[in-house]
Amino acid sequence: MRSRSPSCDGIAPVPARAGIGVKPAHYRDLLRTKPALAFVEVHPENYMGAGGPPHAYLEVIAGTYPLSFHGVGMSLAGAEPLDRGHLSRWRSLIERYEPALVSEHIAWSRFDGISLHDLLPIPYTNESLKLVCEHIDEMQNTLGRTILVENPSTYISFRQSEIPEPEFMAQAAHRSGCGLLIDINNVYVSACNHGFDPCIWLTRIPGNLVHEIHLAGHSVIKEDEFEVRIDDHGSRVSPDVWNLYQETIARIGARPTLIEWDTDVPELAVLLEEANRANELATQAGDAYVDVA
Amino acid sequence: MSTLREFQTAMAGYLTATPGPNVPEALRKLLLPGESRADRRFTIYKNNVYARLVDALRDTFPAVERLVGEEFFRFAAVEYIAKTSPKIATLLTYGAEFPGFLAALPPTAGIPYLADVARLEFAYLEAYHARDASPLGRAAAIVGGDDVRLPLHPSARLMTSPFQVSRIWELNRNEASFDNVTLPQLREYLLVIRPAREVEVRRLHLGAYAMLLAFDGGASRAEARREAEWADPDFDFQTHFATLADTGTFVGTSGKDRPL
Repeated sequence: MRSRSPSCDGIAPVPARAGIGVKPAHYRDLLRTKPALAFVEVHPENYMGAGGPPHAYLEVIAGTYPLSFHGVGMSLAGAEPLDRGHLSRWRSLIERYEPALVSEHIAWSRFDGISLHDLLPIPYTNESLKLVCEHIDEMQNTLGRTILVENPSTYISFRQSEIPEPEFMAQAAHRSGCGLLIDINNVYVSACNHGFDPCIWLTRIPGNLVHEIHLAGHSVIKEDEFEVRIDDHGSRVSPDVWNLYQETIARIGARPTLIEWDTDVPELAVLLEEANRANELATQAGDAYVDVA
Repeated sequence: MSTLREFQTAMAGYLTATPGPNVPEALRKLLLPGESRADRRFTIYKNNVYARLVDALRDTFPAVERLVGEEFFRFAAVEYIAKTSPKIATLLTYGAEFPGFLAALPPTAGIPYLADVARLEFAYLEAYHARDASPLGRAAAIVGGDDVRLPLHPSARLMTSPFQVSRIWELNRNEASFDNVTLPQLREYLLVIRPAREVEVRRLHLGAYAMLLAFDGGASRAEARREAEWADPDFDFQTHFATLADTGTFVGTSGKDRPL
């Protein structure tokens, strides 16, 4: 039997295998070939128009695959209140499509009535933890759903941070009752950019909180002595990230795993190759989680 | 002031300002001392913000980009973004004011039709994302006689231009090459509409345009007919009305899109 992600109030079971992020360029190929996928993930922000082809396609996709809504604009770590209009558009989409998974980021993107359209970092303090938990509560209550929150990739780290990132994530989950979405590429990118050990970071996340994993590619900028990794989701998953993925699921068990690709989006076949690779590793890892539960 | 709000105030100010190398001291001092090249690190965020918005404008205005070239488009887009921050978390309809911005941008004066091409591209985008609705057929549209008020399909957008803007758009909306074309300077009246899956750009007679403007303003069929015949005394109302009804221009119940 295939393993399933841990049961948790409000989180529908999705097979602990690979899914892909789908873009408009893939609609036709996906629905013509209907490849085996554990789930399909979309950014709800791209479906906040009133009608038209995006909704027509999403209706068919939702009838074919379990759906995951992965938000990028809620600004859970924003110092100002959540945008009510945005929450209400989210809620309409949840009611219409009933996605199996719902997730957002530990990041901010909104300030003073302006949407910055990037996932921006915060200092990890008791103050920001409290605020993030309040916003997670508000999002969960408004949507009537348990959400997952994702660790960001970052290029700066703060003097004021007083809580290590993995602890901040786990605390947010414990206090608000949300689950975690661990993006292993983000852990790796941040680890390289700030000089910490990604293996240790990952072992500090309690496995029972993790309901989804993200995998993506990144790029490297080298200028003289300075090297920085950019989380651009524009290439295949790197070998180091595959290794971290393998180690992680060997420890916590297989999880629903997304192949994410947002820039220079390739044809569907390339995403499916990456998904197959994740599936092979997930099969090897087996159902460790189910045994633990 | 809380430390989080202090940081986000400074960061948002930095990210929305016109691109430049200067990272405010208020931001730099927040970094962990071990982090090298603070300026370079903050620049990554700024580049991300601008790149995403430039891409959104490029997706919406491909013909404008082709007409002015990639480099000038990027310059215009960055100027626009610095003045027009998005207010909502979806970029589906970002760029509503870009046509007007282009019209007022001095270097585009040599391309007088540019802003109208941009208006057409934005109308196309709005029609694409508009609310779905089942059009009324001809028979249903005729029932009700002269008193009937027929709302246009929620995707319908009407526009007019002193230039052959739909032809310029057709030639430039993809990368296909074409020989030099001379277009007559004739006013165009356009209906952009998506009665089913595909967005259509239809060229209208002046009378038909006047009729649809009247229907869109809530006029009855008799009033719309008077408007059309006033604009164009030779206008064959019955034929045009039947054709427009057959092609899904009208719906039975009123309803413009709710704004996002």
